[in-house]
Amino acid sequence: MNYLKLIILTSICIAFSLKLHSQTIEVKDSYTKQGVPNVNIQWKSAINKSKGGATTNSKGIATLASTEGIITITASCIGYKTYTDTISTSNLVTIYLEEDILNLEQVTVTGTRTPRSLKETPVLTQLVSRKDISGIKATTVNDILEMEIPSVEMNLHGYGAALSSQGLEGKYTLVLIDGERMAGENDGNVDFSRINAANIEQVEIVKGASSALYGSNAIGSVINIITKKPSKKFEVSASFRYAEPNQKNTSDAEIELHDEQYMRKFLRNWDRQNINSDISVGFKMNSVYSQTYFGYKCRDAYKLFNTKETVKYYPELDSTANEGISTTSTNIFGFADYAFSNKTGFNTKNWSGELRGNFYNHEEFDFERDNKHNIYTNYTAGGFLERNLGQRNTVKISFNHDVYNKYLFNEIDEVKEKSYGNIFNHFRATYSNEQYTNHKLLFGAEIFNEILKSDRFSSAQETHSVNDAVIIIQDEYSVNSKTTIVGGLRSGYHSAHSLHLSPSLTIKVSNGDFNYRVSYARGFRSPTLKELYMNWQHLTLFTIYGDKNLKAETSNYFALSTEYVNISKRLSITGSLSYNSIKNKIGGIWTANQTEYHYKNGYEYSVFNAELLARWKILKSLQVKGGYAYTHIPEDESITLLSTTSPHNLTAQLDYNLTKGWYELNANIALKFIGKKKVRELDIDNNNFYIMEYPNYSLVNININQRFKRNYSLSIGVKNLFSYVAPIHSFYTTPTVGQRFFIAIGYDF
Amino acid sequence: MIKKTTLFTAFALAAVTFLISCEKDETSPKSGKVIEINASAYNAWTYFSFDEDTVVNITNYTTSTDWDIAFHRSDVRVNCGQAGPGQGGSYNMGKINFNSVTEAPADRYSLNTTINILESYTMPPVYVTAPGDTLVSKWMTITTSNTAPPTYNYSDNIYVIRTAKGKYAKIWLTNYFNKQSQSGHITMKYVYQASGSRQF
Repeated sequence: MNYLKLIILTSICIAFSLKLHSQTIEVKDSYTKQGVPNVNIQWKSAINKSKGGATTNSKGIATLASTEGIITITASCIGYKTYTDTISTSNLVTIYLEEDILNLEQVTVTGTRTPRSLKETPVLTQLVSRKDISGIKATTVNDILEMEIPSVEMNLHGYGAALSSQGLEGKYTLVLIDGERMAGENDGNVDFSRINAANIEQVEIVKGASSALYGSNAIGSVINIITKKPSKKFEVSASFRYAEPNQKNTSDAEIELHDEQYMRKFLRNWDRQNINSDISVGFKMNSVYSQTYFGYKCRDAYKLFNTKETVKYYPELDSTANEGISTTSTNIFGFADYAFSNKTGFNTKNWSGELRGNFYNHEEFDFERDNKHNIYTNYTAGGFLERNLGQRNTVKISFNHDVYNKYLFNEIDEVKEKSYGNIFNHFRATYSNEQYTNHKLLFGAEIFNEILKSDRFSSAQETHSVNDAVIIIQDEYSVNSKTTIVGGLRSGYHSAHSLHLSPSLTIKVSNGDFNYRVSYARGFRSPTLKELYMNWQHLTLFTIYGDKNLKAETSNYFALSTEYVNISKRLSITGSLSYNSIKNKIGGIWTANQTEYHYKNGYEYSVFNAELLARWKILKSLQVKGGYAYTHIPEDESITLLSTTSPHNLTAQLDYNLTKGWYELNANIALKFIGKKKVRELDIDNNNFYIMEYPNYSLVNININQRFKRNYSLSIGVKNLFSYVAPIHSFYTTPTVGQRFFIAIGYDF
Repeated sequence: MIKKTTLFTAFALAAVTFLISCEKDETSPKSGKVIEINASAYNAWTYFSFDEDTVVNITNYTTSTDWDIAFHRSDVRVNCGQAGPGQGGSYNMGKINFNSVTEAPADRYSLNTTINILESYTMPPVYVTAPGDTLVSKWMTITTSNTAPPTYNYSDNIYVIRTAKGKYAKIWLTNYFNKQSQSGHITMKYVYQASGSRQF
């Protein structure tokens, strides 16, 4: 009887112990001891072949189904170091994740076009993480670049944001979204308004020429904007931001004077509210994921008036002209735009793929009572398919179709007429082979096709196109445990300027906490279709002519850098020196008594840069980061335009974090200092160059973000705390009216 | 269920409309005629007669009383002083509601003298002096700049014009551009009192 009892009891016990049970894992932050949500946990049984995965909930708890015995778990989450451990299953296991303070575990793709963590990438990459972006409460790409990259100055040029960096104009910086080129330009700049900060996961910046991997325009640097991807089963986030108006431009009484609807609308559009709102929904189920984003933003228009006399110095004439205080205002357009995007993809053991779509509509509200205003639209369709061939070999094919249109909108009839259409088609096939221990190889073949229809060609709506077929080879060679050499070569045939060859070479030597890098790269910029074929008469005053025989600009880039990363001190410092020399720079000359402007090759331009970037987490709750960029352009009388970047630029940020129960506080103070600069421009009235001096200035922003119960956030902040307003406004100053407050609310699930 | 969905959709649409659209207002019908006058030529003036209620051809403006107001781009002349033999004149009522002007002033009308006009828009531009109205010509000023497109600053002043035959009209020059955004096409809103009374 007793035996029987024992047998029954034992079998029950065995049955229970054999019965697969679920394992609860609690993931906490090693510092705050708070649960960490959205941690991806992968587990593998040590006994049999079973495995699985789960994501922690808002309290940091995940349940692993059907585990048994001893399992190996890997917990990973953006912003934390990956945690791996072997545990024996019990009721509750608590693991602690350590914050990835220096972003070393973050995966970057820009340096070698293959995924590499920041720690191991052989090509020096600056990473602006999601956390950095939310720290400065950025709403636009402008905000991010201005406050995070010391060498970048963001101005307004004609119709949109213009970037100048390291002494080079916007057209020498290649800006990518998820690795893809953006169609459409204004004065050599892409439309930075196309993407909102709320939809950005991270921004990767690779300084120097990267034409071997990226082709045209990658002369000064490559800025790759990586959009968000869902990180948990189901997520929703919504935010709404309201900022003080810049200026009151009209009144109800003035609007009331007008009978016509279109006139009233025109006046009202000047005083649009300053609003940014975003909604995004994402899900990740088994191997499928999808992310949908909708963003709407608008801003009021405003006018800036000079408060100081315009003094022009003409060096050739050695004379100074004081033009007095200009009464002409610098007008900044208001706008309203919306963007809709979706990416849907899948990941399986051997296959992965993604389809992307995007639509953007931007309406600009100018002060001109001329019955029209600009509308810009963009749509994108693209995707990729990747096959894992085992042994770390992958084949990837991708396609991106990007269209950018400009319209004139007739305010009376409410119809739009197209004046510009730019299409980029980009096909790519890449084979990457990482099966050899010492060599990581990348082979690429690409076809790039650009089509431009513009009213600035000789006959209205004339169309021109260029094609570029290239092959790319890259080898990441690990000489020994300390030394890596990356060599890249691009060769191809471009329909406008024939054969081109762009090599690049980086040697990285690691020694303890130090990484040293030496690089050389060739960069190039193909002449744009406008520079090739433009034929546009500006009123009856002058005509701009393209030249179809223009050659590509080429550059030689040399750089030296030292990186110091000390994890225990939570400190990273990067110092770099570079020299960039551009040949065959395309400029323009005025002829025929200033009635003709012709594009031509032949200018030489070189620029020397020194940069220092540092990030230091002094205390667990306090981080300091910043950078300084020095730019020097050797004097050369033949160049048409001196640098529009200041020789001295600096960024600095102090970031404080506090977590108490369900309350989180993040306070951030960010500074951008732009040094004094001299800009040389051509006076088209007398064909003489003049130099104007702009004083140094600082922009300081404060942001206080509070988060309640993880899901709700409330932010208040002030932009331009000390109310800096430029005494003389131009393309080379920051167009701000002074201190402005904002408030933002958000919900994340 | 359908009701709920409909309600939700309606709510969502309302929210989106609130965010994106502009408020619409009802136009209160205001009196006055509207005419678009093509004054885009640099080398010629376009003459208008309130009696004829249309643009008229004038061979010699200095001797004719068949026109009341004339336009050259944004420049204006009325039939008086150095511009013509008529009893014309102009009076600036200021930036007020068009309908609130119910009576023409009895006196202190401005008479034409000379103005500077751009006769040829070439490089370099050619300016000449011509008889014109210094007051009404300021209905809109153009600011040009080397670095930006020109800006057009409308005064939105309401002017009372005394015609060649001494009658009164109130005018509001509302637009310098036509629908196709071509400059020099002026939209004039006006009320003409053909009886000779000063009441509109």
